[in-house]
Amino acid sequence: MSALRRAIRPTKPARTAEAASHWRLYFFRGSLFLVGLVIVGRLYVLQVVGREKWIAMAEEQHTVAQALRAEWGSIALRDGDLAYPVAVNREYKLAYVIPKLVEDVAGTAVALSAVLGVDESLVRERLSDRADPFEVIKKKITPEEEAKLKELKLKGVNFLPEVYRYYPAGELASKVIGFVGPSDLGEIGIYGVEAGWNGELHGRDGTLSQERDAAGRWISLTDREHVEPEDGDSLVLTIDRVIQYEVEKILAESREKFNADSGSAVVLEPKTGKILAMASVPQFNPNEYGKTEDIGLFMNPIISLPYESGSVMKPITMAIGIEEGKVSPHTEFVDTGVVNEAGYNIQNAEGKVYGRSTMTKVLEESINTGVMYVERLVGHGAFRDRLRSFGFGAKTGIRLPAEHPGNLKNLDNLKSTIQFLTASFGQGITVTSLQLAMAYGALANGGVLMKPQIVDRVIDRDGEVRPIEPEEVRRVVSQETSKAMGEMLRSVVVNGHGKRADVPGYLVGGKTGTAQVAKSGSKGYDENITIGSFVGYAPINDPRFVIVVKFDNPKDVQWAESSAAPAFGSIMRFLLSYAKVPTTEPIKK
Amino acid sequence: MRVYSERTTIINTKASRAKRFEAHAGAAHVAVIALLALSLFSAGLYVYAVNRSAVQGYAIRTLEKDLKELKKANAELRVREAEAKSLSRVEEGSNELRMEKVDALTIVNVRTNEIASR
Repeated sequence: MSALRRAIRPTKPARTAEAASHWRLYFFRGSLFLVGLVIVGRLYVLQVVGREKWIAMAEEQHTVAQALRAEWGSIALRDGDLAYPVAVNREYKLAYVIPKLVEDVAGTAVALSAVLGVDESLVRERLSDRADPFEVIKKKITPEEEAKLKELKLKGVNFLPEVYRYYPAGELASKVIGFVGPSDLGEIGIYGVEAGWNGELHGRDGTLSQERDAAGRWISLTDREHVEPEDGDSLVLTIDRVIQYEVEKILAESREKFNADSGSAVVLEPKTGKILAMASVPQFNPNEYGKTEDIGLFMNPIISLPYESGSVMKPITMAIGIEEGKVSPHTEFVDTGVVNEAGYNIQNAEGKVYGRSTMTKVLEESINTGVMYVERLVGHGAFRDRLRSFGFGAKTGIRLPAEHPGNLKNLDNLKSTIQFLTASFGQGITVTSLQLAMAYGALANGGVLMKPQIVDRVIDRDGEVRPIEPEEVRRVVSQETSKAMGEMLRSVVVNGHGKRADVPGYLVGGKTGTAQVAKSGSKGYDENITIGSFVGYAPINDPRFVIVVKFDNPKDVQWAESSAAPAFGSIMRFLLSYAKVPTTEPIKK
Repeated sequence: MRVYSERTTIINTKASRAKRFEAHAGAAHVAVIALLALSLFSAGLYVYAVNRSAVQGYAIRTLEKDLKELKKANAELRVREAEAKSLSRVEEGSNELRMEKVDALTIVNVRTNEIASR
């Protein structure tokens, strides 16, 4: 080995030191590698394996979603060419306090109590918890109350705007309009048009979803989801506000006069099916529906409470008989005062006997045996089918909630003759006032049944107007039958029990009905309770209005000719002058 | 035979190189100044545009707020109008004025343009 090599070759102790140094280096590198591996592994677990979980947690913490409330559409009644609002959205202020900001608790409580009319002890109680960030003092404060509180400049007292549904006309048409109330799904329409047309009126709420920072502030530069709310459509009803008001007034006066439990009336335009008034008393105020004790008041009896209509069904039976070609207005029969069937004696009212009578006289005197005679000629099956053709036993399709189809079940068995005989004068089957109005409307409209219409036009959020066109259902009787029925109904008013429904100067036709009411809990009818109705239309030569008036249990009169008939006459008189219909008959002075 | 051709002779002396450098440096100097000026102008234009947009945006926002308030006020006035026009109030007023209810109404159809003749 050369000297040089010897010089540079490390000595044994040097070689040992070098090896040790290398070992430490390897160890250090190995440790670093292991640490790195652990870190990478942990990153893998967090970012790959647990990715979805952490993203969800972060979104939950940082993303805030807020519902953007759509504005409800309004409801209006027809007011000439204009529209009168009866259901609108109104902003009210809510007064609240932040207790920790209130300096003078006693003074603030006294001032709030004096201005808002809230119990002072209640206000003190709400101000007592100093850590409480928010306490409501009173909702729906008036602008005057808000102004007074602002003048006082009370520390910690603030106001929050809230939107409520408001009914400026109060009780007017309340059962038709319904009201908006709370539910699990938020505010929804309850009863009436508010419920029946809830989808159109409510619109669609939007959402705003955005990230926020640790302090809860919106982070404007991040992604956000924004769905615009779609405001609801507005509705203009077919109901005329003046006619509705007047009909409600006449009903209320008559109900009080006859001491009836309740009363109702529906006014219809026979050529279009448009409902001009739908009134029932007693009523409720939709602005204070929570204070109404009897929730039965929310129901609209004209569509929801069917009843055994009694003699107002007789013209329908007669129309069926004429249409089937079995009888004519001058067909005669001999009345013996009673019909015996299945062991039952079915008599005329007050046990009267009329002898030889025409079909016209059957309606004038409301002879039970006369319509039973017609029904037998028609036959049970044909009679039942014709009743259904007139719309009885089925919903009219008016698109209001809780409509009842009535009940023709007693006519399911064609062998049960007594059911058919009693049905011919309106007992044993139930119908609603609206069904009666539409059936008489068909007689007035040349024999064509129309679909009832409660909404005249829809105005969408962009202001576009969509009118709703009248809809024919079917022809139920011929033009000739319709004309004949008009003359017979006129004869009832002139010569029969409908005199008090007449309006001087016009051809008014109609029929009274004093129906018995079934006993609850047992068979038979209650002798002390009746339902008095009058259904008719005018002018007979060119019908403009069909009216059904009904009083439940009028106590001071016995027959409908003394209760429902005069109320009908008052309403018809008003309608004919309101619509400026020229007289066609001489007015006897 | 020697052929002579015209050829530009570039004399590459130190002095000429210095002169060329000076010329180039001057041109670059002008370009830089021009670029700077353009940049400053663009920046100023940008600031002006942004500021104008912000001001207009603020104005639009203010107008939108005013419009919202006006719509609210209009809606409230419509409600008060409906309350004032309620038929029960009209009836109360007619009673106070001692107006008579008309029972029999006679409608006169005027067929010509004449409403009165001598």
